[in-house]
Amino acid sequence: MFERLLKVIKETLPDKDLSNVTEDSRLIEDLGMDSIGMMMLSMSIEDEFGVLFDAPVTFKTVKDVLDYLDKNATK
Amino acid sequence: MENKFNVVIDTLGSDKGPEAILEGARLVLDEFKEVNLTLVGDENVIKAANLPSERIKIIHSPETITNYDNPLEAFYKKPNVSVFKACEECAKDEKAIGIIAAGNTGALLVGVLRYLLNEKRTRPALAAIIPHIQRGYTCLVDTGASIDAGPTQLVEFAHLGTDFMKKLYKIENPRVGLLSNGSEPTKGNHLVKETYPLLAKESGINFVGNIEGSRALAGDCDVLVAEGFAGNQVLKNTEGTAITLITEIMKFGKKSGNEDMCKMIAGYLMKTYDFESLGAGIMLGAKKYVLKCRGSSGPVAIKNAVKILVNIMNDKTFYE
Repeated sequence: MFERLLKVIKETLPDKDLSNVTEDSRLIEDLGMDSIGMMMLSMSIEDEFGVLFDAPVTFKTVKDVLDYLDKNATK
Repeated sequence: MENKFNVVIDTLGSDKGPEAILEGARLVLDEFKEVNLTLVGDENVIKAANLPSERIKIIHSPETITNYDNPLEAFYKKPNVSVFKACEECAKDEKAIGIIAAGNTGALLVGVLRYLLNEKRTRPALAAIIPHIQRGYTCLVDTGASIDAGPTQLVEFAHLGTDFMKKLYKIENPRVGLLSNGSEPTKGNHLVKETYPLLAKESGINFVGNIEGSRALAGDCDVLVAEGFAGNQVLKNTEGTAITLITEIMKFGKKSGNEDMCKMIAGYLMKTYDFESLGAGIMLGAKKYVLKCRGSSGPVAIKNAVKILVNIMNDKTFYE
């Protein structure tokens, strides 16, 4: 799951070196995600993991995303 | 003439209210017989404009978004915001070639991301077409869609601008410049210095180097690449300078007794640099044409935005 998520994040942040990303990495402060990036990430997550968000995503860390996907991913 | 294509217009969210947009719609229907319009907004207000019913489709979606709303939150909380519905309709309607909106730019961007994003999923960029002194146009990209773009995104913007200028201005090999604080390759902030070598080696990009802001209107390049913050400053500063110059010319005319001559010069400058004449900025990277008019746009700006689309469909150059 972590590797699949990392691939999705890489598509959203093509300029970022993600080699040191851990579950504790913060999406905004550490990875430099902006609001458009968060929206594009949420759309990519919907496609990749078969989920549907009904509100703007408020994930703080990579682990927050993984926890959500553990409970909700359908593929 | 037979109607050939649809244009979706968001009638809400502009500074002058839906009446000004609907007056623009009337000008469109009068002038472009090949265009049908899908008008999104308050059904009662649209009907009150008495536009020819056989050439318009109305989508009742009366909610608006203000500049104080968070567009992302609004997307989920206010499903009937007109600009979102307009983007959705534009994506669904096979005959629709594009959307024109004059409201909140962030909301339009969210609508585009949700419904009109290209297959590659590259980040959209808001381009402005700036007239330059050599009687041509420079595509300034980005002017505010991405405030913190990185080097890879600037290269994507260069491709978007290049494709656009090839298609709409028939420029075979558009020259691409990178906005910087000096023309030398060593000049610029971290972003510019990282982007310069990427553009220099990028296939399909005719990179001509760094361009200073003072040369934005000089015609040194056909595509001027910048991250959204700096691009927006160039655009607004250019317009502000033009307005200041025009005001000064008019003042001088009154003071010196050359009012008629100065009015003529000011009129020429207004026509060349006024956004009402130019119509709209273009959101590049979407599946269909997305034209963003200024919030203060009046009927003429709306008509000229549609004219851009008509010219595209008729394979004419952008402002022919």
